[in-house]
Amino acid sequence: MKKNWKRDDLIVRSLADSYLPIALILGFYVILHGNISPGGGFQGGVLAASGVLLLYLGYGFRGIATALNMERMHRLEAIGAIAYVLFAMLGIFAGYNFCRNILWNSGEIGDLWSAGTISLMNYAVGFKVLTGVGFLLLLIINLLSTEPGHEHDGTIPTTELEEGGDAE
Amino acid sequence: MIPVYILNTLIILGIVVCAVLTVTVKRTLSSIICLAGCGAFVSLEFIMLQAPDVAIAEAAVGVVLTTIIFVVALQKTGGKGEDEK
Repeated sequence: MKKNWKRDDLIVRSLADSYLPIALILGFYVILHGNISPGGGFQGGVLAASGVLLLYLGYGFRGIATALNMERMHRLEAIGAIAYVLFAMLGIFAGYNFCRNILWNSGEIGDLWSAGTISLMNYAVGFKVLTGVGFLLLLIINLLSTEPGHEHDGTIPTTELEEGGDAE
Repeated sequence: MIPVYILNTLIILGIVVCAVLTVTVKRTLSSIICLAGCGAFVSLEFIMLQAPDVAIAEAAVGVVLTTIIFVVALQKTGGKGEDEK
């Protein structure tokens, strides 16, 4: 095994660019169709959050640190949890039990919008898992990349700057 | 058509073989790849047992996320396991 893996590889970066929209679209599809097909908020959120790993493989930690904000993701995760609890408490506000659907007859059985507030709770779970797993991956990658002696992953992902020789 | 029990047996054999390879293989990177193969076979077995929901979760978490995290951690720690120093 080679000691220094090449970070700014053109093939890896092109494949990451190609597969990132596929991962995002598949994840959002699974989240959106969580009430009528296999999958749901958790699975779709994890599928979409693997786009963070694709960004890291293509562009290194410096690339995703400029594209994503860790503090904002941490706050958005809390917003997703609060949204889930609020949507679930709509059942209590309407006089029924927790996690109860309060919109009846909102579509045919098997339609995309046929689950009332259950699908809204599903989207909230998907949002929370997407930002939570993304934050977790960013945290792991950040902890791994702050180790001294491995300065090769901090390069800006353009080949012209790599030719210049100072990778900071 | 292949009977279902033959397919089931093949998938379970794949799980066992990949699990044994994960433990016995020398290089750490090969061990990680064998673990990912074990996860893929487990996902297929979940589909055979008619639980596609769990199969999606296993394929997303057990194959993609853990594999890439292990590979990144292996790269950051020098790329060598305990046995190959």
